[in-house]
Amino acid sequence: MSTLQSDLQDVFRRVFDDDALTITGATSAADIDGWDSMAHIDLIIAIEKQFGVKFAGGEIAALGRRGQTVGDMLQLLESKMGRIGG
Amino acid sequence: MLRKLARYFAMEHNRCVALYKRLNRPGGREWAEYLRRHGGFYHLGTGCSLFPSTLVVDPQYTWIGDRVCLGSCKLICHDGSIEMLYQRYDLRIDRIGPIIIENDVFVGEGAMVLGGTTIGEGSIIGAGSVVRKSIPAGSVVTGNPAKVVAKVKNVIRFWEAESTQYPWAGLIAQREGAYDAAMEPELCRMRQEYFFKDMPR
Repeated sequence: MSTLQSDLQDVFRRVFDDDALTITGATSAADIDGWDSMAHIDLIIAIEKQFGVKFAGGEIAALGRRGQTVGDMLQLLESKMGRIGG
Repeated sequence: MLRKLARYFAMEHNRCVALYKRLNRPGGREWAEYLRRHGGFYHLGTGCSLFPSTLVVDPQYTWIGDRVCLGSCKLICHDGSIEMLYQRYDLRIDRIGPIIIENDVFVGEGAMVLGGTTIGEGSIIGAGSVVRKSIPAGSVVTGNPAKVVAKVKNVIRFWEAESTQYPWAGLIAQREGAYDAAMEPELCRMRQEYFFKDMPR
């Protein structure tokens, strides 16, 4: 697991209040209890704070689409932070 | 003509109200104006929208600010159990509290707001919520008991982003307010096409 994915996992654990939660690139909203539209907002805001980035409207919409995975999130996050891999 | 007369008597003199409701089927804004004049509220501000199906049990203990929008919800200031407590236990108690809804609040369908609560300015109360404690300004709340699930300022970013993705985003950008009767047929057609694209009608 890359450092970025590990840091992202910490954010997920905080937002969903589950210290045992594990994410992979294939994890999607369907895999995590409580990942509804409101939790999604909390998650994105927490990610912005943690990594010091700000998602644009189009990026927010893309992340909210059905079937989006943690992998998609990581890819976007990497591109925004200007680094590839962990 | 009869409609106008019924409306006049209802609005100006609080007469023929049932006839006015039946003939005119007043919308939320118009009904709020009637209530502002004759509804017995401690305070009901301007620019509000309250439907005839909204139940305000104790308007005399209800304070509503400006531009508040209430769906078909219930506002109850008193605790009705004191009647039973009196009859069975001979208890003579009072359990009642004011409801204060500050400016620019939206309360969704089927929500219930109980006495002794203040809903802070600019909050959104989700459908079916039961508000038993005061809500800080700018909150989005849902559930029973109602809990803050987000801040309106955060939610707005997400809802704006979602809206721009709809095929009818251009129409929405041109719309004045939240509803435009002239635009509605085209909006409805586009939404149906998007929602039910591959489903038989």
